[in-house]
Amino acid sequence: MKTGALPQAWMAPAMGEDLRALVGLPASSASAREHWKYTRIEKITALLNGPDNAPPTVFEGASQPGVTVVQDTDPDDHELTLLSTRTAYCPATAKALLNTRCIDRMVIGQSLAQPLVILRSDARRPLLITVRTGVSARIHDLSSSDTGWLIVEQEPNSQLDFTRLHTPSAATRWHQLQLILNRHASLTMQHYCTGAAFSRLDVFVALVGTGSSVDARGCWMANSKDHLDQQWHVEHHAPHTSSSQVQHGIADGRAVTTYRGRIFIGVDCPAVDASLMNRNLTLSPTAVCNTKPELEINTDDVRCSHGATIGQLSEESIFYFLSRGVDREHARKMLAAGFINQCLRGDLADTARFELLGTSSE
Amino acid sequence: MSLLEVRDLYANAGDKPILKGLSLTIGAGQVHAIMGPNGSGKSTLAYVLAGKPGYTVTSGEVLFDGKDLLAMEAQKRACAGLFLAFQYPVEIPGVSNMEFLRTAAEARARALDAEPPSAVDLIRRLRAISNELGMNPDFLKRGVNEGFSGGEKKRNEILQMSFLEPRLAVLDETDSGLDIDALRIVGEGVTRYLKAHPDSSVLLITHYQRLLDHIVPDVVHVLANGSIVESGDRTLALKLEAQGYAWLDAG
Repeated sequence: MKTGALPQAWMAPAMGEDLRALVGLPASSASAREHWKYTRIEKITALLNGPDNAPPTVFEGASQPGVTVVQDTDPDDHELTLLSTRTAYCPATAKALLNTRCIDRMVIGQSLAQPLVILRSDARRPLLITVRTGVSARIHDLSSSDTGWLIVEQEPNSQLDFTRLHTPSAATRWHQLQLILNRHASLTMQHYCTGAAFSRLDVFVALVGTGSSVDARGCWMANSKDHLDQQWHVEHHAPHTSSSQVQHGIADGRAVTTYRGRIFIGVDCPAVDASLMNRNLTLSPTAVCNTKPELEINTDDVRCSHGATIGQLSEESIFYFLSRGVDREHARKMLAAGFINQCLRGDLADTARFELLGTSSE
Repeated sequence: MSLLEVRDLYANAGDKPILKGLSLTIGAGQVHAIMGPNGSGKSTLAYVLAGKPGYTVTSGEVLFDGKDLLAMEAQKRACAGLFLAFQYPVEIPGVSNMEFLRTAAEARARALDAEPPSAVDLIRRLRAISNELGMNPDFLKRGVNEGFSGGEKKRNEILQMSFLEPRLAVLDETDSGLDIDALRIVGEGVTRYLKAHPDSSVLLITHYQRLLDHIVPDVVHVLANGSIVESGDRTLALKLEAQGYAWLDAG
């Protein structure tokens, strides 16, 4: 399998003495501490202490021509490298890796008419998907499982439309996504996550090939006492790469949401274009939104922007609804749906609207 | 019976007294215009009638179709048939005009225990009204007032009025920000609405006589320092245009 070189920067220090020792890494860094500032690692690692025989990934659409699936297999050297790349930031990953007895592997060898749908996952059994050179594919991750570990490697000139939906759950959840883009590969990504009692998502996008690009849009909505922590890392390791992120979060009740968005630009990566915007809406005085956009730039001649806002619903906007006969509660819901609608598109926006309002779009 | 009866109304904007003993009676099917200098209380009157938070009535009463308007919540006033066309309509990104108006129509139907309009009727009516107002029907898919010019926002207010069919429409400086053609289109839109709804009334708040060339008022009032100080026919507006407000101080 021909791939770009994996970035050394991925091998950063881990948290926790035992896990650092397990992956053989030096002492913890400020970045790693930030990674676990709002979520206790123990909650995540406890998820991965189940029996070793993790159930296989369940798909829909895997019988299409051009799709090859091999389940319950040993990873080869390259795949082992992929599996270990993020263990530094994610001790939970390291724990899962150490418990891993097998992986599920999928290769998409030709452009697909139908999307591939992931219905069940387990982080103790990572799923590695390779999108072959020049192939276009859609993947919908609808897994309602408590854990998941998905690695997608896009070969040169491939195009992937990736959608991820997480519906409400009372469980503790941890999911990790690693997306690696080789030369001129492009990724469009949409993500919608509704409340979970305790949910942590780690997303790593590595643009390792010249001319690769990612457009990521994500929304989340937390209620009650939900804890929702999202860590997004977009790393540019090649010149002429571009990334665009728009992330909108809503917190109601006593929910706590955290978003950390880190853009990293490696050395010798000129003409990179990267942007990140995180907007948050609090619907109650007891809700908490933490946000931390970060830039780490190691090359001149790049264009980068990042920003974050936390706000409340405008009373002027609510009154506009009232003046047309719409009650305050419904006005709040419509404004929240509008906030999401500014970010998401298509079916995912409709799903969010339906959850909020019980109606579909026009 | 009059449609709107305001009796000796005193009201504050925040802590500041603005309306000081305002009285006004509007009959069904009438057009009243209120003119007055800046800070006289014109917009405060509009907001008090619509029930905007932050505006407090300290004494007086307002009857709308014989019912105590001030006892109603803002959305119930709207459902009862009161409409406010805003001087500065807000932008609501992410909520389409179509969705916004469908929700408003459904809320009103619920309040009146009536059948909400079908999707087909809703689209047909909105397209017809938008054509009359010279608006591209594509605007229905756009966010409410999102990226609209000042003139488009004002036209959208008149479109909403025509669609929601209120008993009383309060138009708060709807002419501000309109060019000559847009002013004519808006004026014709309001006149067309009144012809189609002969029992509906309009309270026009304006600084300029020019809007009254298109929407002919039955009564013109001058509001100064929180109360009506002069009323007359439309020649009063012409006098104000020619002489300003100074003659009022001279008595």
